[in-house]
Amino acid sequence: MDDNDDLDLKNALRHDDQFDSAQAASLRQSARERYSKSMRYITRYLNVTVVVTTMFVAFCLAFLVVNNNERLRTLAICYLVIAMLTGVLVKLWYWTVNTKIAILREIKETFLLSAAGGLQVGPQQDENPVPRPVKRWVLVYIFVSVVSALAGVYAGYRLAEPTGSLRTTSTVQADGTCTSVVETAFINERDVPLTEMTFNSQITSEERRFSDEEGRSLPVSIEQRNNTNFYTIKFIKPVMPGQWLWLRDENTYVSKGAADGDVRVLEWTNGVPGTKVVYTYTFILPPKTEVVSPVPDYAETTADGCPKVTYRNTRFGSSRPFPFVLKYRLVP
Amino acid sequence: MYSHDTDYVYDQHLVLRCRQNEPAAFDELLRRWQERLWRHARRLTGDSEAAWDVLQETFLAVSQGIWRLEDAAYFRTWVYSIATHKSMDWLRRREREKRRIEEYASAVAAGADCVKERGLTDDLSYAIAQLPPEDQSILSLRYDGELSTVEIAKVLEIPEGTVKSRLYTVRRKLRELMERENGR
Repeated sequence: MDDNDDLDLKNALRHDDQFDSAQAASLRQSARERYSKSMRYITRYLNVTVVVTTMFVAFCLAFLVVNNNERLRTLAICYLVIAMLTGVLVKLWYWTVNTKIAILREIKETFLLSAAGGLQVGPQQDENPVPRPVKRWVLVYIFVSVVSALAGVYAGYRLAEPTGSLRTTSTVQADGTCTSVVETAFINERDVPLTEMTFNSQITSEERRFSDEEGRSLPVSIEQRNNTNFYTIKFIKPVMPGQWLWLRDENTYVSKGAADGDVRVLEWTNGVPGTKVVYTYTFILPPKTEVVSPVPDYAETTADGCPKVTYRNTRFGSSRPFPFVLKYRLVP
Repeated sequence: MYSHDTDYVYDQHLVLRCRQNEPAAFDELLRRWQERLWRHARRLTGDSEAAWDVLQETFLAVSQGIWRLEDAAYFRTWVYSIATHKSMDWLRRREREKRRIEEYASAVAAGADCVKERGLTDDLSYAIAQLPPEDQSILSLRYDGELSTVEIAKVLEIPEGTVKSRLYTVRRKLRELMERENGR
């Protein structure tokens, strides 16, 4: 036997009558089902990846816009970059691979068509091709983007650091008069240094004193417009952009709240600029009184038998109305 | 050369269509390869039923992995590699059951008997059936699968020089077997 007998060898190797075409067809059917499942999985995997990265991008963008915490914003930027790169790379890979396949396919088809006595290329597309739900996925992308952006706004806002605080300690007399100390702090969010501050107040007390964090009295001018007092406080030194401003306000205040039978009403209307402000109200009520509403976060009794109640909340997500209204009554 | 072979190009074309999610192309590809792979598996395992099992496992592996096949030109090598590995797995399983040697001997004998029972008087076919599965495998890849020595080396994971020497040895064995048969 020599190399010239290759053809005989080939024929001998291919000579086999044990092959069962029907059994093979059954195996092919099973493999075809697995193939279709596998291809569906790939498409789904790709779409899910892009949707997830889209969610991350929308969430992080919204979070960045709303949040003011530097560390959280840095983290959001990292996630944003990773999500964007992942999404872009996945899509780029998919596009590159498909383009390459399409070009190669064209080349092979050209070769087959030009080959003398070549094989038939066969149907170019399946009679029943697997539908590609592009439109549905586009809708999904839009939907998850909007939802994620909203979630990002919510989370960013919730996790944002307070931009101001207002702590009030009021001692309420039996006639409803309040002697209050209000400590206010907020960030100068303007782009220019703050040398003075003007605000309106319903407190008409003549005994009112403003001081800074070092206890120095601050000059105040009062102007009345439309039956409202406008206070202008001049700072000793300007508050630079991004810096905290601290202010102490001591006053005597008669609440506008009307008595309702035994129940007395106290309204507190002071506010602080900014959207994320922590408010703390502490009221020392007259002896032999009790709070009707709202239920205090913290309650105690002073040494001289006065109820002392404290409320703490933020403007964002607060269930309590503003201005703050306290109702109390004499213990029968 | 395979690169100019229409069959070879048509296989590549089918692989590319498979990667573009065309089940009909996948079916056509398997149909074209089913018999070659089955024969290859049967020669390696020496068992017709085992060859069907191997063919099924090979089909499933192809269905799951064809989208990962970067170059369609490697399909022949790839699919033969799968069939070879699945056959080897089958042999290893049988070996673990400590029946490999006995079944191997009986399989060779059964194979030879089978050829005779089928009335295949062709000397060459009879001689091939008497070769061990490893030798039948390399002959199958070279002459049935029409793989080059480079491709056979990739499938069997052995050096190309070894493939050439083994092909030479197998052919010499066949010649001796046929001469012995003719001398009887």
